[in-house]
Amino acid sequence: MHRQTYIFAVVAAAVAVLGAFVFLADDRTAVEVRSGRIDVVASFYPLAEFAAKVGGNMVAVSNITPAGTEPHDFEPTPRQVASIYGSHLFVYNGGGVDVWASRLAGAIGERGVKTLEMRPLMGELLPPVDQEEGEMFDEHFWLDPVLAQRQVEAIRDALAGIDPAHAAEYRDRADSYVAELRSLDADFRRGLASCQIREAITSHAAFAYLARRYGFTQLAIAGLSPDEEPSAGALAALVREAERRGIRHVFFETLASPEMAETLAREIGAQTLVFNPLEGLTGEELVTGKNYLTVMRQNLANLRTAMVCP
Amino acid sequence: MPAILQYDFMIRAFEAGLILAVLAPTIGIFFVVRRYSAMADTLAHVSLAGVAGGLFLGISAVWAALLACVLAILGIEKIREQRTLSSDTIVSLFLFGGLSLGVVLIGLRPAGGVNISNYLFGSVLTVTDAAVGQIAAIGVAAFAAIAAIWRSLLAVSIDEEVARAGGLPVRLLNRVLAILGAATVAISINVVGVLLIGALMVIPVLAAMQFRIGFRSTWLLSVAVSMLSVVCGLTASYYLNLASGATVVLCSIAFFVFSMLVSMASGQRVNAVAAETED
Repeated sequence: MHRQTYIFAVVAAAVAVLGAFVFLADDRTAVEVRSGRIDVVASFYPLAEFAAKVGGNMVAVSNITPAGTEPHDFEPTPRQVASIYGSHLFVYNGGGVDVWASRLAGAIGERGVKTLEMRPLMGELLPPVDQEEGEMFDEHFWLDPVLAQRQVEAIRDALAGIDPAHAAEYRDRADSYVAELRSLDADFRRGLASCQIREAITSHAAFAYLARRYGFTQLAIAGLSPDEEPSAGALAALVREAERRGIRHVFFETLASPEMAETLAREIGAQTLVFNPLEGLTGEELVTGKNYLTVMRQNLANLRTAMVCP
Repeated sequence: MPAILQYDFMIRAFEAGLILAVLAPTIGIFFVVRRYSAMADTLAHVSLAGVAGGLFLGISAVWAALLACVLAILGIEKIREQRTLSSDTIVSLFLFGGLSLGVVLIGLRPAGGVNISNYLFGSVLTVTDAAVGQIAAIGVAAFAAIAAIWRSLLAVSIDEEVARAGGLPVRLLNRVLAILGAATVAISINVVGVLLIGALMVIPVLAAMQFRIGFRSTWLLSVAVSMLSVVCGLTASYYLNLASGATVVLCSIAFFVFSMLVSMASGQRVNAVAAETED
């Protein structure tokens, strides 16, 4: 038998398999099952949490970035993109945290899905570390309890626009969650009012908004993206700075490798503490009932330890 | 209409994927023949340096990436002409160099890089209409250019010495091919991701080469394999909920394995027939 025959067989087999696949798999697995509620898709955890709080049982919220995944490294599957197409409202951060969402937003909007991007609503954008200029901005807006209130209100307005019949209920739920965020804000304000140290060392420059809000300075080991590596000189400068200011604690975050923070901690004889940037809670964390408010309070407690607040 | 085609993001993914499925092996086959198979990955990492350098100097990312790729590939050709190193080692030299330079340049930016790799490495599901148009334009231009110089390129790829003796402008042809490859990779990675473009340049060609059927037939078969990989891969990724680019690549590898098995079986038959006739 000739090779050509085999090649023909390869191509024919492929076409047959492919055809069978497309037509047998057709429609039975289609995803457009509307829940009868308002379907909201959020690009990652904090936005999903806020949408669920505002929407209550009138909305079905799904979070695209799986629990425990670092959203910087994440890319959605076709099903997930299809679920956004089938939803009523798509909420995303904008910028570098969920680049895929910004890329999709235009096409999704054309299909009649309402899109809500948080970045343009957050007022003045801050560079990741003080004293530096540039077009790079910190986009961890949700870590500031005051900006979080603005996000909740934006979700409330979007839901009321889609489902005006329940506007009053969305307003009530948003009001009560905003009240919880206000009390979180008050706790931070009180908790960080009189600390002996006004600097915190972190493994990932994510605190710009939190630091501005409560008047402290973040000294970042790495840049904005958790997998960036610091230079040896920068690490040495941080060690000197920490020793000069008597800093005894170094923060690392939950979803990234703690090695750099541990190295620095060993060097200055400090302890490491967790700061959870809430980019995604792991399945385990969700099961044990953790949420935005509880994790933020834990972050506050750790910040108070690190900055020696009475 | 199948459910998979109800979504315009899937239609755009098929469009972009199929255009690249024709273009990538067409350029890739020349790279494979010259042992440049790591070229796409190398150019992706060089692009990283380009984008980082572009941010540093305030040049647009796409142009900076393209410029870096063209410079790198001219450098690779230059070193290759010295004939002291084999192509694959030169390519890996540039891969490590590009990656390291990119990381250092990112670190030099005082404010730190906001996950540049996220802007650099796209996904086939987030392709926009404009990007499909862009890929189509590059595709048609590159394809026309390759078709115009096909015979000469083939002669140079098979044996540079003979081609040079025959009076072909070898250096020019090498550079034209290299720049076409650089342009394709630099612009595609941001749209469909380096995994997809790199794999489609190499794996379908390897699958087709199993049959030792001459250059033109190998090229045709590799385009067929790569188009089938795109269609199978995107379909499977949709119905089985898998990451799209990687599923397309795995499909092309499945075709490669299948081709290898068929080729081995046919080889054994030929050997058996030969042994029988010898008796």
